[in-house]
Amino acid sequence: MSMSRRTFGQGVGAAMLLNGGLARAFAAGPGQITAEQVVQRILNKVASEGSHFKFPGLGTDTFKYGDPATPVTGIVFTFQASFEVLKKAVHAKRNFVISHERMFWEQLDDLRSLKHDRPFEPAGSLETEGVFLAKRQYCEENGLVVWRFHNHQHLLSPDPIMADLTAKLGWQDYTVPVQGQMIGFAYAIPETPLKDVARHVSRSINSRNVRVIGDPNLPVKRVGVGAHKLIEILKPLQTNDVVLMSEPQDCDAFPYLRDGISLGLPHPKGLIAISHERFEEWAEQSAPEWLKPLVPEVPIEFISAGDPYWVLPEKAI
Amino acid sequence: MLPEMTCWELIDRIHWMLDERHKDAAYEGIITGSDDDTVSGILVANEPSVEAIRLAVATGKNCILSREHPFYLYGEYLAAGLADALVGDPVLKAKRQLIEDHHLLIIRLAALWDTARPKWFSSALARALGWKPEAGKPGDQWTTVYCKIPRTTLLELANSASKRLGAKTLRMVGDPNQSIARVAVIHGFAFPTLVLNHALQDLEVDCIITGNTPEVDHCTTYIRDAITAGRKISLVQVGYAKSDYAGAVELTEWLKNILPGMPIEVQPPPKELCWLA
Repeated sequence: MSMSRRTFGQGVGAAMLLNGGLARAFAAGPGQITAEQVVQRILNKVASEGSHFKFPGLGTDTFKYGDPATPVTGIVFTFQASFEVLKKAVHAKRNFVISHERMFWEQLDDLRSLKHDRPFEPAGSLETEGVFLAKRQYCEENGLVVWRFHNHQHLLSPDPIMADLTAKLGWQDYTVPVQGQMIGFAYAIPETPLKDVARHVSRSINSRNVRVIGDPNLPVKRVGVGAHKLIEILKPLQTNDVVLMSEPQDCDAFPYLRDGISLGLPHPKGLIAISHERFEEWAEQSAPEWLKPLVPEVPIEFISAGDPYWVLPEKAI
Repeated sequence: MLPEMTCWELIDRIHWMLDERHKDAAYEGIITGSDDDTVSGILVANEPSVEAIRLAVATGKNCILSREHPFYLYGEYLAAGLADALVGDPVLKAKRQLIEDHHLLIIRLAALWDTARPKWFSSALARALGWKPEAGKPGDQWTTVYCKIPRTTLLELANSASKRLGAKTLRMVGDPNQSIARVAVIHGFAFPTLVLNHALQDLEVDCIITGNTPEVDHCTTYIRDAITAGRKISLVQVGYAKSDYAGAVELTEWLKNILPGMPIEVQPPPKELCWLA
């Protein structure tokens, strides 16, 4: 089928506005549950567990595709609703995908205008873009519903994204609280050369896409944690031997590290940069067990979005 | 006697020769120094790093012409709030002091080159990779250049790019055995989605080579989705700094021609900052 993005967007908007009526029209039968009922149970649990951390807004977490009143055949948790993940979900006969990250490559996946990207977008539109159409058409033909669970997931206490990364690294006993930083803890580890810390990270997350800055023999006793931009790692860099971050941009964090090391200052000393997906997807892996007591009606599973990059074979440092 | 010109005259001369009257983009223009300061020698360094500053001082150049901002303000969403967060930062403080101690002039021009000569830096990267970029169509303002290349695989292409650029930390998306005969080359930071989407509109393009793209937002996932949608395509990220170096070399030669007598040199290729675990 063919549908313009605007038409589609209007359809979704109408579905939201007429929520009650459409929900009744597609009312789940006995023993069934709709996508919006699943979401409501999740939001209730998030509300009951509280949080110490405040996001600037919760607008990311909306239905990205499909009718919220759709009866759910099964639930998939994933880091990102990539086209491949959607196909795997259909293959597994699960029609409700809960995705931590974006579906259509844009922060709010605003199908109608992409207005949130406008300051950075060159003139043009993805309205008739082939990949966009193909992905959307696949969802339409297979009755998929996609909801994003990002900011609310980070509101859980403890934040499962961080807790499950920590577990993956095997560093549960090494966490120490820090004040005034975006991520409120660091790892105090037994002194280890940076090259060995980095290799431990690489093995733990099963990824060779681990880029490191700093002297390979730098003694590391304290690993800070940061997000994606230089502004988000400035403080951790100043208070730790090295910072573990995901999806850095070469053009802000890297020049700062280059200068800091050239100047020979006490900090910054080093950085370990991994993919966004390998930093965060562990919480999605454990999410089915978290949700099963809340939604016993349908099967729930995890599908990996996969490490986005591969790298050339290892070369000697 | 060496020619003398002020910062303003230098920028005016560059504008004149490009036939481009360009208003400074955000975080661009004369970053340290002023319009009236005299330029006595130029070091072209994409990244006006501490290493570049030391080299400029050691070689008697009082001006660095850069693509990047000395205080890490790349622009767009990456710069939001960063200047305030860097107030009192020890790295910034030490770098500012170094610049002031040597009265160094740093002029950042980036959008200018991509507006006046949109294909310049991408063409230079393509040439550094051993390819011949096709001429762009009149009025084409995209920085992307296209090249037909001897048929190869993604793995072979990545290995070749690694050797030619002296880069070990390339990151690839796609099947290593994918056959490639036509590439789109985009210097620097390929962003947002429309930049990659435009490259895919050439249906013969097998591979996009760029410096760096975002992962979950816009670019990398878009290419992954295009592959799942059936497009035979791959993505190679050679590293942001590596992707822009060849452009700096060609820019330096151009500057020497338009500024005869002015001491001008390009920074030697900076060592790759990252290593793989």
